[in-house]
Amino acid sequence: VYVLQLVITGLQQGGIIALLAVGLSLMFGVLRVVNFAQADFMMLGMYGVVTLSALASVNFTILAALLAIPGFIIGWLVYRFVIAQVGKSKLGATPEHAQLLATLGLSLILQNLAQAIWGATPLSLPGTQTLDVWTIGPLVVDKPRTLAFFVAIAVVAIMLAVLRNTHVGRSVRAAASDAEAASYAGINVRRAYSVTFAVSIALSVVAGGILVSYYPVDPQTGSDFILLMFTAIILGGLRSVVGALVGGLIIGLVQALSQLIIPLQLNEAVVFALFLLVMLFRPAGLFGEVTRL
Amino acid sequence: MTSYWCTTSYTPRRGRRVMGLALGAAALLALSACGSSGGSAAGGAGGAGTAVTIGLATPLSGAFAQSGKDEQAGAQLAVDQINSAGGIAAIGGAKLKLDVVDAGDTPQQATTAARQMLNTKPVAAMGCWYSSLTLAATQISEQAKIPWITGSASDDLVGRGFKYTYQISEGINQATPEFIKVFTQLSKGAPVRLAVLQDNNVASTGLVKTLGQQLPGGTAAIVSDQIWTPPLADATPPVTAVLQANPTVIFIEATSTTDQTQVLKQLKAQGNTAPVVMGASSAVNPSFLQSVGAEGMQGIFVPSSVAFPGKGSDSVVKAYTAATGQPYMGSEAFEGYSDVWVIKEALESARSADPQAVKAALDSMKATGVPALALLPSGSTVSFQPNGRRAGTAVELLQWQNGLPKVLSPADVANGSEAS
Repeated sequence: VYVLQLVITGLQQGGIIALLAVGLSLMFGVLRVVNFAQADFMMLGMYGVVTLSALASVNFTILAALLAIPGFIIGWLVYRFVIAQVGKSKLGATPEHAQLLATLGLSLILQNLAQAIWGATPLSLPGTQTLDVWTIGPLVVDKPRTLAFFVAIAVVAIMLAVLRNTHVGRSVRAAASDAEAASYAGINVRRAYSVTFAVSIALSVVAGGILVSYYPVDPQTGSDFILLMFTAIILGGLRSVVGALVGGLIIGLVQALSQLIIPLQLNEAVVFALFLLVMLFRPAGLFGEVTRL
Repeated sequence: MTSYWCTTSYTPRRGRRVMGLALGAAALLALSACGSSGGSAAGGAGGAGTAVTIGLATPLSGAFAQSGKDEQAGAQLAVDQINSAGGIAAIGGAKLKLDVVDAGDTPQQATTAARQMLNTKPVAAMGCWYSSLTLAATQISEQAKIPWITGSASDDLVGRGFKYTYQISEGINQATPEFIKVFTQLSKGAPVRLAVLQDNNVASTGLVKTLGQQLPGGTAAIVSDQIWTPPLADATPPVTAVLQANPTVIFIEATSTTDQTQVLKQLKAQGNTAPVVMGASSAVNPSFLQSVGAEGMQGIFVPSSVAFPGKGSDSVVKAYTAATGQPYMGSEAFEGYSDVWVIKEALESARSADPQAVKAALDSMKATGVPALALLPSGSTVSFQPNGRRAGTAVELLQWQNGLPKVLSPADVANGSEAS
């Protein structure tokens, strides 16, 4: 029973990590941008839902979904006016380096902005002071985490369908494969990049909106998740949406099940040990592909 | 398997280079800056119209920022009260000025902040609320020979032979008997079956280790001990394990409010009926009213080495809540408030704003009948032992009652009685 409890807990926790990692993976896969502010956009989504919930008694899932719109707009603006601009920098840094440092700066700005607006006290969603659970015999199933899990699966499924079956998805894939060739084929690569970045940020904002239903938010909350997000996408394969999903779920499961044989306090160490093993034996990740130069 | 949208070959070298940068940047993130929130004036000899500078290093960013801001607000209240009452009478009515720096949430940041603040030559300094930060900052104040007053509870603060560190709170190890007394009382005559939920912070593990050694054998035992590394990803497994051990008392010893909140919610969700004791003095912070709610905190006991305002503190608490909008004055704010009043008394006695004279005044202090200091346990007379700890310190036993922590003991500061 305890093992089953840990499996449930692991899948639930993995679901939210996967949802966060999918956006990061999409961004890296298409734009090659390592976004250190990704988890801070998640934090903004958490604050957004907390703030809106105080104004109107609407279910947090609806609020999280609605926040995808401002998330998309903010993402679009950040790409056009920050990421794309520093990518053209002529100051000697490679575009990757300049963009990485820009996202690092953005992360610090967002954290300080959040502290200035909402303060440093952890905030929870009003009305969630009591956790909602299903008790099935000896098993305890946390409702918000279960919801987060299914939302993560649904988002990845939608993401794959969009990438596979729509014009926008095909444009994004073409731009990811070969930007120059895509532009010769009449694809607006700049727009594809902007859309990718914006969708990625919107995903993080939505994930934050779901996460806050059970995890209090403070300006530093992003740092609780950023390394897990990176580990998930590296584990799954840096440029694979499915890989990010599977990577997130594996991390959740490993964190939970490792408690059977290893003290709870070492469960993050177990995740990173797994990460090192994957790097040693399958450096492109579980769903990545290595091409020798 | 090929990544879905990518049809070109993937070069791991490039990806690794970028991820290497990413990890480097992670290190930069961890070392993110600490800043100063104010300028500084020299702490030299005062007089009417001049300012005597007191340094405060406290966390204004990072995980402990709320505690730091509360401490700052408490200190500022004391400064305002003292200045509006005429300043330091013994040095010509000199006004106090608070020079606040951000101690961040790591010892490295606290060290940098202390160095920055002490460069401005304050007459005395105070902070940093969290023991690990204070231990680091006081290394600097000791070298600079500036007296440092703190409410941090680590025994190491007065166990290093330092001459310039003064501790106004009880040491954490001295709190152990009080914890055991509470556990025994809450077990209602049955053998104590103690279940522990703790993070692996040094102070937390140290306290639980001492508890394990001092629990009376045969009548008390730790039946489950769940230790995690913050942040706690999900409280379900540790809480499930603890409840399966059928405890008579559950002891939560965690430093992160987020972790504490998750554990408390999970205990409630799983229908826990065993009494809950929280070890960290931050467990009486007003932020719990927002994150867990008054109902969720009802009845929780908190033995605290750090003083919380109890009997006689109504006017101070009223002034604090009016100034800050907080529902009450927590122990962080009260520490800042008390530290400033101790420095004020030392300045009056020293009749000088020279740090060495202030140190001598602290060493020989016998401050009697100071209303602000009388709010501390045994605070009717405030003096310091040779090791720097205040004489007569005591552990306060607090209990959350209707959204407010009440002091149950010691008697001189108690403002409530135990509620079931």
